[in-house]
Amino acid sequence: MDERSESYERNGACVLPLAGEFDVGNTADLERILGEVPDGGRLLVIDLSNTAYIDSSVLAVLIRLKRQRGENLRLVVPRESKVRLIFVVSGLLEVLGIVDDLESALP
Amino acid sequence: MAPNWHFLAKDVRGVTTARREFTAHLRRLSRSEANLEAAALIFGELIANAIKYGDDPITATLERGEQYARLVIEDGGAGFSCEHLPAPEPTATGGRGFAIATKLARSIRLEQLSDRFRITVELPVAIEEAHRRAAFGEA
Repeated sequence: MDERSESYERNGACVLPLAGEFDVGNTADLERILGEVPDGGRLLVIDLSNTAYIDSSVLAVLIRLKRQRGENLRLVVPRESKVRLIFVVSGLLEVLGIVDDLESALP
Repeated sequence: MAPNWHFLAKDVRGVTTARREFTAHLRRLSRSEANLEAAALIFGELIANAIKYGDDPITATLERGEQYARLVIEDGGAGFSCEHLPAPEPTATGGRGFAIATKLARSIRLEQLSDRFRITVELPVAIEEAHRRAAFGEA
């Protein structure tokens, strides 16, 4: 986990960059970070551009969040990202509505 | 001596550090950066499963292979067979770890031994011959 995981406002959306590594050992920290993001019916964009590693326990968290937020959740995972692989092999690129860059995710 | 790691059942705190060490070992041994991310995922997913569902003692060892690095994970539990692991649904929140490892590994073999369960994985990372001799103490 990294202390830079703080959300900010852009184009009316809440953007949450996740920097560092997230795995089964700190999934609870990730859920706490996500729980602190204000809801308010706004679009939440989770930016994994600087995420170095995630595992399937993080995928589970993101899938549950997608169920809760539906179209109000978008994930940014650039094609060159280190974490792109797990979304590809899990067949989740379309399921989670992943886009390649932040601009494409914003309204 | 081959690099190895020890874990306690139901205690996932050591997974992150062990994965980093495992990846660092592979990086030094391999010919390139290719597939190191895949190998790290395989290690992380299979160790997490062993810790969550297996019993002590839980060990992981990075072994020499004929051409590719090999990961051996053992635990004291009853293990499982591939036949009892259905493919996860697209939106399932569990049961993905082994499926991910299977897709990324060159091969995976499951063995129920008399007192432990063993998973042997041929990783998608080729080992530089000179590095292999040095790292594994070969003449």
